[in-house]
Amino acid sequence: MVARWIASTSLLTLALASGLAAAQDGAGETVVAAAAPQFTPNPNVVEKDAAERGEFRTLDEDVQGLKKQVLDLNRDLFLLEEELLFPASTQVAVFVAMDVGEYFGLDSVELKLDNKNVTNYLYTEREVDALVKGGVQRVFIGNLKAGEHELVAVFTGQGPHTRDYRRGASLKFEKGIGPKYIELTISDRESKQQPEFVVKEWE
Amino acid sequence: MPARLSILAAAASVAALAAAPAGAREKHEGIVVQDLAYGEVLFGYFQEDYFTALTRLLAAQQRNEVPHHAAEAELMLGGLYLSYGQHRLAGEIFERVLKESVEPGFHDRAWFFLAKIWYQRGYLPESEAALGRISSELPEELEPQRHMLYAQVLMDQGRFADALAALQAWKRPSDAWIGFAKFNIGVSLVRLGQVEEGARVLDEVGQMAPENSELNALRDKANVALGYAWLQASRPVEAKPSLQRVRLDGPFSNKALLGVGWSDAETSDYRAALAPWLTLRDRSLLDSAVQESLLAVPYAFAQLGADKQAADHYTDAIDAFNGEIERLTTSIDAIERGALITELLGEHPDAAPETSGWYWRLDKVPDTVESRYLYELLASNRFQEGLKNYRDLLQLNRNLDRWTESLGAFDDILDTRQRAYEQRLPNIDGSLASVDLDALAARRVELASRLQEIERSEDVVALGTAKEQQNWRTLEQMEPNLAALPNDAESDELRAKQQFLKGLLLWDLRRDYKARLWAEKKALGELDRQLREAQRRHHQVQSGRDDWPEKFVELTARIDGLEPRVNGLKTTAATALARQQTFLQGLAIEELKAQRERLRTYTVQARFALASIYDRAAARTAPATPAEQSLAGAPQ
Repeated sequence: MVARWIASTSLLTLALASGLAAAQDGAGETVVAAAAPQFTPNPNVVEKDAAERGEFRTLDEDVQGLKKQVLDLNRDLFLLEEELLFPASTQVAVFVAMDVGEYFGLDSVELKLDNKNVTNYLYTEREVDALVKGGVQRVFIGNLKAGEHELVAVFTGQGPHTRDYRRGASLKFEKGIGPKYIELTISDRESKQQPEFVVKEWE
Repeated sequence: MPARLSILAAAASVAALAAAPAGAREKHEGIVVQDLAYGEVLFGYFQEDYFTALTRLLAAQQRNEVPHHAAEAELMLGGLYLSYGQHRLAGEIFERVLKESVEPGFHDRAWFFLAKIWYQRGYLPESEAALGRISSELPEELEPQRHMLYAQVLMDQGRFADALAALQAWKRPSDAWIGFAKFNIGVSLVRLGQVEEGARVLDEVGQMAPENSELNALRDKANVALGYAWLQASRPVEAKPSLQRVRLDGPFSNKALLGVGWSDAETSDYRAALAPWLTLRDRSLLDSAVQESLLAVPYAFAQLGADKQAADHYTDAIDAFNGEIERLTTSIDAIERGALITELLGEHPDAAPETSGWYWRLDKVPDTVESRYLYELLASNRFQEGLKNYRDLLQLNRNLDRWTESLGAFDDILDTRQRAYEQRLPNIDGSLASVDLDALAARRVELASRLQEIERSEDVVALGTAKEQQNWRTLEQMEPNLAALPNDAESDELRAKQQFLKGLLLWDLRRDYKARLWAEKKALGELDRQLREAQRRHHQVQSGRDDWPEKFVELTARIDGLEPRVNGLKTTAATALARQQTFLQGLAIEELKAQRERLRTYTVQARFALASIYDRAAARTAPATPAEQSLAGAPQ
């Protein structure tokens, strides 16, 4: 009689549904998650589950398609924006990369072009991590006439034992008719524990 | 998260497969950026800003800015699509790229992660197919996950025999995984009808030494599942020991206490059953086991003949159920007004727009009435994946809003440039007209041919200084006059002097000739360079002047073409967002309605039992029929 009552309630279904499990996730962070349905599948639940899965899938497919369209749109808008704002004939861009040991923390980069302050960029920890891992940041993009120009770059940061660093570099460069790219790599490889800018011009 | 980084590293560079923990600030030694655009993509990618990284990579590929990373860029694209939850596109790229000469370790990992996202999103056949493409053992941290994922994919498709075979074929599950493997073996056996055998395996899991919180949870889960399986098979005696092994302070303790009570009740030991059930009475009514205990307690009292206590407890239960039904109804109304999704995302720090994609997960549920009712639903893959899509759609909507504003600015910029062009045009035309490059080029040809002639004839005088040339001419002009002089000593002396001076000058001119010829040639080369530069600039200005009207038309057309695309996608994205919200709310509301329905059923059962008790009490004054006696207290 009791069993009959138990069977009449939904609790048994719930208990068994959540009772079956499997582990699945990143190593070291094993979690127990519902993996399988109850021992005795309830046809209504199975049917509802299939319907929900179908609805989820339809929505998911639509979202996938929409995301792709928006990504393509962003690509086209990105290209248009650059062409409009920074035509190739006048474009100049400055990039920052890092090639430093583990203990150098970048705080900021300041750029002056022809003695005019164009950027003073403060870094988040996330951005610094991305640079350390090999990312390259376009820290400035602007327009310059053809001819000779001067870039002055200063970076600040902290080294081991919270020692503050402030290092600068200047570069005279010729701006031709094509876009001009300048890469500033903050490196401590060259001069042993002393981070410095290594400047490279790209055409 | 190591798992996360594996795919990041894999996509970033085939050579950089040796993955470091994502949190560690470690340079990927394999990555040598040869194209700045590729470095920019990596910058976005390492910040988990997949949308920006994807946009940058797509633009870079279109402009051919990653020639040195062409193959990696394609893999990167696949990896970024996957990270952004674009599993279909990722699958297509992997399908295409991974066939080629890619390091097998990368190949297998890529398919593993694709299988994982497909599983989480309920694309079970696709997930199974992706797992089937893994050709060798994955790294140590992923290999057990692969086995478990494969079993789960099969179990979710109801293929328990296949899952059982797969799990039994797994030869070396480590200590950390053996419990999970056995658990699923037990479940599969029970689902295949091999209850005794399944129970034996679950019992093993239920008696494993609890080494950490995960294994404790698994142990409890196994014991609850096993206990209820025995109860369902009407074997309450076997059920009780496993249910009693469940920790009292764990997440499964409510179900276990309820089950222990039922196993006692099944053997008619209602007094014993009351102990666990009364313990449950003081726990949160949000739990379904606690709700059921509110009915079970008076049922036991009724069975023990304590009708007054039974009636009191039924009355309390009805009040509690009604209060809960009311709160559920309020919650359902709140969710219908859109409160749930706002609360879920609004209070979550990771809801910031800079993170997106598949890795995001809502792991902190806001402490609201709704979320407390929906804890299990919120933790489910379907809800989490749906929420990710909702979140991504929110970002798409924001992104499209921003572009709508920018497009207006683009029009202004273009107009400004057009006006500037029109203003400068007269000056430009004037400057272009004032320079006769052809005449300059002709003059250069003339100079070159003259220099050639000087070199051919070794005309040393021609390369002399102006003074030297003047002196040479003077000395030459003297010659006819000197020749006409009489042949006397004085004249001879003058002639000898002229010859001497001429010889001296010629000697100087010959001495300096080679150096002067070299300097002239160098100057001619410099002239060439300057002429070419002038021609180039002239051409550039001319092209700029000539090309701009066409460029203006082209840019105008591009802006005009993009406007309807942005607007169209805005409408689509808004609709998709609303649909996604409706879907998620629907899941939540359905869940809450099911809970409310269950409580309504309980309420009816309680009322019926209460009525039966009152009837029985009333009948004590009059003789009762046997049928009436058997009904009293037994819930329907």
